[in-house]
Amino acid sequence: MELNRLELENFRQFFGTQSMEFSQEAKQNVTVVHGANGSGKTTLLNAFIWLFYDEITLTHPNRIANERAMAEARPNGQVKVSVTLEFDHEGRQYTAERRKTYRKTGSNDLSGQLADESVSLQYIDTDGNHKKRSNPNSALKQIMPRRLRKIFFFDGETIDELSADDGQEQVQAAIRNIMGLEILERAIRHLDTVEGRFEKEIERHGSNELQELVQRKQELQQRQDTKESELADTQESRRQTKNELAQVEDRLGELENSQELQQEREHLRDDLQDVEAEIEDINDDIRSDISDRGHLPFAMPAVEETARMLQEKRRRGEIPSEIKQQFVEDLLEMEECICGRPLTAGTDARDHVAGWRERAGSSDLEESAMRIAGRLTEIGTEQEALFEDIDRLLERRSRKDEQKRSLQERIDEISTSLTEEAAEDINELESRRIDLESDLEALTKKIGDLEGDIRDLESDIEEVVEEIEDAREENEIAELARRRAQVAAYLRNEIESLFEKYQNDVRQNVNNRVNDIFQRIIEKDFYAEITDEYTLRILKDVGSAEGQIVAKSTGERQVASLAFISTLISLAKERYESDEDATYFTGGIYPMLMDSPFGYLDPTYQRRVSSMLPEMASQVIVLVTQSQWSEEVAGEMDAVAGVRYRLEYHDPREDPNVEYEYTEIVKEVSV
Amino acid sequence: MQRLMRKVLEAERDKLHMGNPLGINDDLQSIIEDEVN
Repeated sequence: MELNRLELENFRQFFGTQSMEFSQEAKQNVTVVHGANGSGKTTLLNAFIWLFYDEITLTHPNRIANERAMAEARPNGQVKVSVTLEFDHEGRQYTAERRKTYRKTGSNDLSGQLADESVSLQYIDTDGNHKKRSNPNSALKQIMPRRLRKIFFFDGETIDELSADDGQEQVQAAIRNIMGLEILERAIRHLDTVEGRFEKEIERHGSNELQELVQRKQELQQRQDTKESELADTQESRRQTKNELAQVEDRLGELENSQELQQEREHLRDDLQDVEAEIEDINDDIRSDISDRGHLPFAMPAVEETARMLQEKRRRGEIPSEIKQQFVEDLLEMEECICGRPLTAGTDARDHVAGWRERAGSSDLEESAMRIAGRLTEIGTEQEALFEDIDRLLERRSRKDEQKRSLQERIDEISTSLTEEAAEDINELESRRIDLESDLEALTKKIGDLEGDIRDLESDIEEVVEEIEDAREENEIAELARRRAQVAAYLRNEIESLFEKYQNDVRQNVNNRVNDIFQRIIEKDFYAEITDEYTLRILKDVGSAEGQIVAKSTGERQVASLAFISTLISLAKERYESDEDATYFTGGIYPMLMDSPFGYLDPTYQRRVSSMLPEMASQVIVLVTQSQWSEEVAGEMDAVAGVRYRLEYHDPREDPNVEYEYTEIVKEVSV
Repeated sequence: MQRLMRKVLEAERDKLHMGNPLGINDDLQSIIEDEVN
């Protein structure tokens, strides 16, 4: 960043529009602004702070508008306040402007009420096109990070804070920020957040559910195997029982005294089977009728109600209507009534006939009503037919049931006769046959139950398999999230190491340079260092191993702080201009704006600091008080300053022609 | 992994350069998701 020009308009004590240009000469890169105490040097420093951060570090921070401008404005009039800075940054020419407008609320109002405010940041790109940054406040803070405020725009009277015992945080932050290490710092913080997001995903999708489901599936399969084995055994038992039963019946068919009855029983069984089949057919017919036409009895109340309504409309003469809509339309089109009256537009007769449109019936509606009426009659007939068909089927089934009962009775009688047969082998055979038949029935039932159990188990297994697939998918998501979380953690750790390494490298580098600059100014047995804990301290070598003491002089600490800031600015510039890959270590070119940098320095140090100013940054702006403007300083400054301004303060206490205080920027020297 | 780290740092740099850091966590998450799948 290289400052070109600053323009102030009614900002604090600067009345009207005033401006200054900054020196950009390589050897005389210092811009000096000097003035008496209270002339506005710190206000000038605040103009930068206000422009970049919308902040004021002075007393009465809300009094932005110049008092004289406010006094001269009429009540309800407005005073425009603005700070405009032209600068170059990363190959672009920028113009930044912050503007606020204050309304004077009464004749004695010198502060004004904020009426409007805006900030803009325009630039000319490398092709010469004028463009605007869409988010100027953020962009300004990006160009000149707020955290670096105290480094770029520093107050010389408090700069020694950096080398105070508790200044290490500021020193560390300054090193980190100015060297562009915030990219690494931010990446560490953000990767930590991203890792947390992945961990939440693991929590959401990962569980022990899959293992539990696999166990359940195995249990179900085991139970299924047991049931299938039991089913196979039972089917075998039934097959054997059936065989034995067939053998017993064959034997009964062979024996003379049972042969006839056994044959009759076999015929009866065939008949019984036929009758049972017929009963099943009848049941199918009943089910089919109920399925196809079973709704009719339930629909009948609605059908009857609709029929009643249509009947009522017919009774009232609404169906069919006495006039057809088409007939009315035809009369209106012909413009003549059937009585011969003209039906031209605007006549009462036409309006009267047109009124019949609403009363006339639609032929479509009437046709629909007629169709519905016909269909209602059919529905009634269909319902009656359904009842008749069902009655007929029930009657048939009743007859077949009777036939079945009779066949069964005869079969039972045969069995009784055979059981009571005198021939021992016959009655034993019959008893055995009865037992076998009973066993067969029990086995058949058991097979049915087992088959049902197996079907249920199969269905349960299918469900578990689906759940396992879902859980496996969830598990895969959790596993992926776990890998991603690991990668985020790995990257964070790597960047942390990189961050520490660069920070330490820079600290070492800064350490050497700070001491170099410090010793060129101080020229004593003092030396400056930045400790491992980032404390900037000044030590005095007393010539023994433990002979190092920390210096307490404010002047020396001020020089050390100045050397530190200058070092950071020059390192950032070197990094920015180097050809090294600088994805995360960009550096930058920054000016140095110092308010009262010679406050606590004796004349020798003032002279030395003055002579070294051009080396401290690519551009240096020094705001210096009249009391510090010693011969030594002025002499050195003449050699290094490219441009010099004086702040001329107009004090109403000293000049009766001045009603309100104000400051003018007066250019004194220009190279 | 070096490539991934470069992508992450470039995303940070670009966001910072734009002066609008909103959405950087989403961006970094997407970078990792695209690489680890």
